[in-house]
Amino acid sequence: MAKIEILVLEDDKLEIELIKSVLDENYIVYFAQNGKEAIELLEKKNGIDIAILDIYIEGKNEGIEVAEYIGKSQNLKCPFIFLTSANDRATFDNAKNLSPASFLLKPFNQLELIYAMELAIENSIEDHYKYSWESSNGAVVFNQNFLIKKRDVWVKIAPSEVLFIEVEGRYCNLITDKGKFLVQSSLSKILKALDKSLFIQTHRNYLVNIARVKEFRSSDNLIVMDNDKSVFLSSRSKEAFLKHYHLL
Amino acid sequence: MIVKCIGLVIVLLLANDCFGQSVRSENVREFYEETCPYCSGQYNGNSKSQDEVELYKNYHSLHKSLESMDVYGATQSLRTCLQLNETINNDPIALKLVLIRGTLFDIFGLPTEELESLSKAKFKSLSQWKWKEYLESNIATAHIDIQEYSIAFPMLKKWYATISDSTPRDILKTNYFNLGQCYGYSSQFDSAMFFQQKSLELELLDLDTSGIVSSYMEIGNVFYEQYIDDSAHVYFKKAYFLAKKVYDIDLMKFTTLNMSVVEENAGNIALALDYRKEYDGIRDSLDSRDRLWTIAKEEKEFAVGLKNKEIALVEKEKAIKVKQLQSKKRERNLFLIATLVLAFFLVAIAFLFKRSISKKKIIEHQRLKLEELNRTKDLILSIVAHDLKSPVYHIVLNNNSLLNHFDKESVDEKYRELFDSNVELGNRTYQLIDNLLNWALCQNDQFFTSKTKIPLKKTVEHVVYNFQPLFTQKNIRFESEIDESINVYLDQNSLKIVLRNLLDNAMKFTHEGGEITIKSEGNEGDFVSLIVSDTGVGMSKKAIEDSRSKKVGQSKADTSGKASTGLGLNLCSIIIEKNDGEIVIESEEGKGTSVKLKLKRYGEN
Repeated sequence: MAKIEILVLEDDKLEIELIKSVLDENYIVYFAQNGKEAIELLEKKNGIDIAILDIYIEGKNEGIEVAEYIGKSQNLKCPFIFLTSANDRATFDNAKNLSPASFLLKPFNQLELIYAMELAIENSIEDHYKYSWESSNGAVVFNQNFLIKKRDVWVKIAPSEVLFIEVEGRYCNLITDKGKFLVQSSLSKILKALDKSLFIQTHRNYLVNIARVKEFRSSDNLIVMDNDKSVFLSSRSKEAFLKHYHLL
Repeated sequence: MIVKCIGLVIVLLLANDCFGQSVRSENVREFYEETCPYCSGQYNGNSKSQDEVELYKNYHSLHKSLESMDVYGATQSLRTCLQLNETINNDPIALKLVLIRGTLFDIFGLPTEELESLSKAKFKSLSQWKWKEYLESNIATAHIDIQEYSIAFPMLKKWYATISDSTPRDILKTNYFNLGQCYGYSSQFDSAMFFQQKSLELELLDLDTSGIVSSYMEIGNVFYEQYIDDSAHVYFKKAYFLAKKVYDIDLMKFTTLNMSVVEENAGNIALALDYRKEYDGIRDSLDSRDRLWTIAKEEKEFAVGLKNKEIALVEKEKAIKVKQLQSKKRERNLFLIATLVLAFFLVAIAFLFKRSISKKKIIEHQRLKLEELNRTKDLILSIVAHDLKSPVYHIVLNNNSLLNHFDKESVDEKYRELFDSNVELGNRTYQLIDNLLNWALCQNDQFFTSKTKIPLKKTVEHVVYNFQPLFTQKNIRFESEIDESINVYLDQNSLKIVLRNLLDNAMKFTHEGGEITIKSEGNEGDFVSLIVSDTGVGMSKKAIEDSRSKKVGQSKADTSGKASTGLGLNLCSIIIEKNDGEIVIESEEGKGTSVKLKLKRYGEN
C-alpha cells in the first residue's frame, strides 16, 4: 500500500498551506513554485499520480505550459487539474483545449479539492477499470495500480502487494500484508484488470497471486498463502493452477 | 316632225357660231381684247392691286381658252374672274363676263340660262355700246333656240329696219338666217327663202362651210315644208356632199341622217338604209371621238383632282407639320419642365439623403462611442474586480489562518470583537467583489460556462461547507434534503455562484435562531427543482420584480442593519438563464423567502 503522489504547482503561500492542510496527512504532496520546477519534479519522481496546476504563476500561464509538456510526453501519464481564480472565457477556452481532467476554482474548500481529484481520476480512466468509484468503497485501476478509497482517503495498491482476493457478498476483499481493502465489484470484473500471468482464479470466490503462494495442500484442496491464510482450490481450477504452480 | 327636229339641231349649231366656231372674224378678237389689259397693251403692273392683277390674268386665260374652244378651262377661269370682280367691280369686264357666261351656257346647251345671262348683259350695257347689235342678235338666237319665235320675230324685224352699210357681216348672216327661220315657222315661205338665200350669199362670201351647209339645209327645209321635194332634195344633197367634202363630222352626221329620213319619206327604202348605215358609222366615230374627248376630259379632271389632292395633301402635311412643330414644342416644354422637376427632386433627395447619412453617421459614431464606453466600463469593472479580488481573498485567507491559530481566550474581548468584525467584513467584501466581477464578465459575454453532468447533492454540500461555521455562529438551523441520485446538466461554477448568493442572502436576512433549508423536488422530466428557503424578513414585490427584470435594485438593510444591494440576486437571474434554468422567488415580508431554481435534469440519454 502506498500513498498517492500529487504534484501541486502553486506560488501562493497561503494557498500552499491550505492544500497542505487538506492533503498532507494522507497523500504525498510535492510543491513546485514555477513551471520549470514542476517539470523537473514530474521527471524525477516517476510515480506522480495527479498534478494540480495553477494556470497563472506571477501573471504568466506556466500552468498551461506544464500541461502542454505532460500532454506531449510519452511516459508521463498523470491526469492534471487546472487551478485558477479567473473564470473568464479567454482563460477557459485556452485551458480547455489541453483536456484537463477537471477544474478547481479558487477559493475552494477541502471538499471541492477532493472532489476535483476524484473527478480527475474518474475522467482519466476507462469505465471498465472503475469499480463503483463514487461510493465510499470505490476503486479504480490506474496505471496498473489499484486506487482504493478507504475512509475517504485514496490509497494506491500495487497488484504485487495483493496476496489474494476473496468475495464477500457484493464486495471483494483485497488481502494485503497491511490489511484488507473492500472494493465494491464482482470478482470477474477485477480479474479483467489484472495480469493473467500473475493472478489465477482458484475458486468461484478466490483470485490468487501466484507469487505469494506458500504451499499447496492437495489433499485438502487448499492453498496456503505467505501470510498463512488458506484459500480454496476448486477441482475445476486445479489443473490450471497446477500448471502455473509447476511452472514456478 | 323629223324635219323640225333636224331644224332644231341646226339652230343649236348656229347659235354656237355667233361667238364661236364659224365666226372667226377680227370682231371676236376685238371683242375680247378690248377689255383685256394684256392684249390691249394697257397692262401696267404698278397701279394694280393683287386682286386686279389676278383678275386680268384670269380674264386673259379665259378668252384664250374660249378662242381655243377649251370649255373646261374657260369655265374655271370664268368662275375665278366672277369671284374676283365682285370686289373690284370693273364694269367693262363685268359685262364681258356676263356675256361669256351666256356663251358658255349656250355651248353647254342651256339656252334658258343663256337667255337670262344675255338679258342681264343687255340691261347693263349702254345704248351706244359698240357690241349691242351682237348682243341683241344672240338674244334673238337664244329665243329661237327655245322656240320662242314670237319674241324673236319682232326683235329681228325691228333690227332689219335699222340695217345699214356698217352692219357687220356676221350679224347680217346670223340675223338673216334667224329671220328665215322665223318666216319659215310662220309659213311665209317666200320671205323665208329670201332671207335664207341672203344668208347663203354671205356665207359663200366668207367660205364658211358649216354656215353654207346650214343654209343649204335650211333652204332645203323651206322647200320641203312646201312639199317641193325635188328642190329640197337638191339642197339636202348639196349640204350632204359639202359636209362630206369638208369632212366636218358633226355636219356629216345630221346631213346624212337628214338624207336618210328624206329618202325614206320618198319611199326609197334602200337608199334610206344606206344613209342610215352611213349615219350610224358617223355617229359611232363621233361617239368614239366624244368618248375620247370625255376620256381626255376625265383624265384632265383626274389630273387636276390629283393635283388638288396633292395640294390638299401638301397643305395637310403643312398643317400636320405645324401641328407637329407645335406638339414638339409642347413636348419640349413638357420635357423641360419634367427635367426641371426631376432635377429638383433629385437635388432634394440628394440633400435629404446626405443629411440622413450625416445624421446616421453621427448616430453611428455616437453608438460606437457608447459601445466603446460601455466596454471600457465593463473592462475597468472586471479589471478592478479582478485586481481587488486577489488581495481581498488574501485578507480572507489571512483571517482564516489567524482564526485557526490564535487563542481567542487570551485576547481582550474588545479586540476579539474587532477581529470577528474583520473576518465578516472580509468575507462580505470578497463576496461582493466576486459578484461584481462575474456580473461584469456576463455583461462582456466573457462569463464562461461549460455544461456537464453535475451531482446536485455533492455540489450543494461543497457550497454549504463554507457556510456551516457561519450558520453555527448566527445560531441558524440548517437542513438539507437532496436526493443523492439527482444529476443536473449545467456549469458547476454557475450553480455554485448562485447557491453561494442564495445562501448568503438567506443568512443575511434571517434572524438568529431562524431556519434555512435546501431541498430538491422531483427527479423526472426535463427539470428538477432546488428550493432554498428561509424564515427571514422576506422580500417586497418590487424587489422581486427588480431581480426579475435584471435591474440592479435598491439596497436594503439586512438583519444587522448593513446595506445589501440587489446585485447578488440579479446576477443569479442572469447566470441561471445562461444555464437554461429558471429562478422563481416567492416571498412574504416578515415570514421568509423561498427561491426555487428550476434546473435542467441530466438524463442518462
